[in-house]
Amino acid sequence: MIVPFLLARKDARMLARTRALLVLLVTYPLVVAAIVGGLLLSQGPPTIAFVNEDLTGSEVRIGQESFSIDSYVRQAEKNGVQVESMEREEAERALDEGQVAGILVIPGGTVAKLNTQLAGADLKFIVGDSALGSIVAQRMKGVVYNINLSISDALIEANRDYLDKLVTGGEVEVEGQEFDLYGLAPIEDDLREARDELEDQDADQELIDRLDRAIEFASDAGSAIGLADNALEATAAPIRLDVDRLEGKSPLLTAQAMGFALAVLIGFVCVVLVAASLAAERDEAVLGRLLRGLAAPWQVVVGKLLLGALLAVLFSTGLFVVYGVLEPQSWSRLPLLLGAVIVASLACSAIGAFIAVLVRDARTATLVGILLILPLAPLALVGGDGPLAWIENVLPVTPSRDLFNAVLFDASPWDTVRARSLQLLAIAAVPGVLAARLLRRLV
Amino acid sequence: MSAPHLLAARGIERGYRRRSVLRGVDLTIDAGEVVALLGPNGAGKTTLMKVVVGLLEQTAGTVEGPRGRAVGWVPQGGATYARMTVRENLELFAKLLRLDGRPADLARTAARNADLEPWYEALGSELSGGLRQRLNVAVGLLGGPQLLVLDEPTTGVDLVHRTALFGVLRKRAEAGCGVLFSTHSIEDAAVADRVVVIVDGLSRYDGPLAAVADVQLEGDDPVSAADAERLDPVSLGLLRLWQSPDAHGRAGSYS
Repeated sequence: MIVPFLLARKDARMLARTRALLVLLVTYPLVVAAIVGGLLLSQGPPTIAFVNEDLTGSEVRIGQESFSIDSYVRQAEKNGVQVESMEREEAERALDEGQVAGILVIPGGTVAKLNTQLAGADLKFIVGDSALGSIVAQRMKGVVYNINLSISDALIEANRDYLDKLVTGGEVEVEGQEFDLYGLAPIEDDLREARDELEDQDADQELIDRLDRAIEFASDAGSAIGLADNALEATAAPIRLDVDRLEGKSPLLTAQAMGFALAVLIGFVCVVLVAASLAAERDEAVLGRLLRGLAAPWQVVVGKLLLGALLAVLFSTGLFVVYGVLEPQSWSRLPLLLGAVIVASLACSAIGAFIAVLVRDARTATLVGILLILPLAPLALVGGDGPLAWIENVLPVTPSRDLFNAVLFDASPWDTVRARSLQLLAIAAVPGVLAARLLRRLV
Repeated sequence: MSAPHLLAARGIERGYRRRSVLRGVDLTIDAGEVVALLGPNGAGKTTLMKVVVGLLEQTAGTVEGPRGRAVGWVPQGGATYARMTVRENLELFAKLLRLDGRPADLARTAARNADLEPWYEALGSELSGGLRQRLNVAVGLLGGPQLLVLDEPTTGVDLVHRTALFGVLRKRAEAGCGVLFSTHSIEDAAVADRVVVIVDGLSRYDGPLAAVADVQLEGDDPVSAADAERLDPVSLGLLRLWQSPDAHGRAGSYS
């Protein structure tokens, strides 16, 4: 296993001697990060279609409060999403054509369910398979969180009102019917008054004791209900967050930009440099010397994969430094990110090695590498259906983007990390094995 | 009974796709012998050498003799890394060959033997064609192979470097190493103990260079009278072998 390391170290040493390439290695990630991040961040808020299919009413009424789900959704702008009302068919067409990033549907019966205060409701959000779709989905979760918070506040307020009326007495309304409650405090007062009168009349002491117990209960019950007010609020929302939205970058968007930039960068660097490097071994007539017993074909290919991993880590670290300055909390994800970078680089480098074996000379290999990766970059940004989706999944850029997004942003990234890593390793295995088997063609 | 050959290749056949390049070549080399492989472009010299060193598998025939690291291979075109120094190239290949001893010491010795010490820290790209070829040969000689195979080692090399190169090869042969090199040049072939002429994938002659002049062909002479007058006897003999119609079908038609 020492042979691939010797070969990779030799390649790294030779690359380091190419000053122009060294400068490029340092500046290119920064330039790409600036361009991609700038483009994504400078775009206006993404638009979603809003389809209200609920005919059971427009307002949820809880106690004295009433809510319009419709108006809450329209407040999505606060979460960085533009909302446009549409019919279902129109919305689906708009999503298909890329005019909107997602569709929020309020299914029939939603308001009626919420008005019972006994059942929740499910809103539906449909997104396309693009980086923007997942951004918007995350933002809509924020919108729904705000709706839930308001409903929860109203329910607590209504229940507190009921409890207050139980203590002080007064009018309450339940499902449209009004009731006049007498209240524990007035009862306590009445009982005290009756007790004093009985005592003045030298009434039976046993009767007075019974009244004392009733008075004590009314007093304790009133105090206990008063405490329940606060307990109710604390139980409903143990921790609350007041959000002040400031102008500036969105961490999620930055993560998406970072994930996309990394995927494209590693695609370019590993495919092009590994293809050129392996083909150059033939151009310099060294490959024949290596394959004559000094290194097995698989060792030569693994050496190139190691070179690709090294370059990818160098590039990514440069890019990550920029990201880490923007998002300081992301530094904890660096080890996982480097693992993801290595996995992605293996897939890209294996494709680079396969290109070198097919086209043989370094210039053509470089050109073919660029031509292969170039169309994959926009595809990874907007997503594709049918044959395009198939192409996306058998080539490494889109799976790498998904892997990096999960690593950089998901709270629980492991499922995505596992699935995408396996996919990338499978992508690496096929061209890698083919390159090793066909390498002697270059001799 | 004569001593066994260091290398004996018999009836070697090899093609690329549907094109037949070697069509039953025989080649022997003895220990301490320098053999030149002569032939026109496309005759199959490089393919035969690749079979001998184990880079290509023959489709028919047998190769008996040293294999693997016991064979030093000096390909065409420099075959060393231009962006690495002489020292780094020699150390890398010494490590890849897993030779006994420190790679640094082995590299220093190899550079000294190839007279490359003044350029020890120079990049391959900074060397002249002749020096680069010396480095190529030095890498091929690492580990002291029993058989050294060189593919057109004098291409683009001036007289001084060529003389030095053949000096190194002769020294290795005197130490018991068999040497096989290919060339187009009669001057280079004159250095060899024996020449093997290959034309169209067939061995057309195997013997001392001077005796090529005595080759007689059946049928019409393929060489024009003007050329026959102008050329020396050895060149004339070679040209007859290369241009003979028999070269395109039958072997062993010389006498």
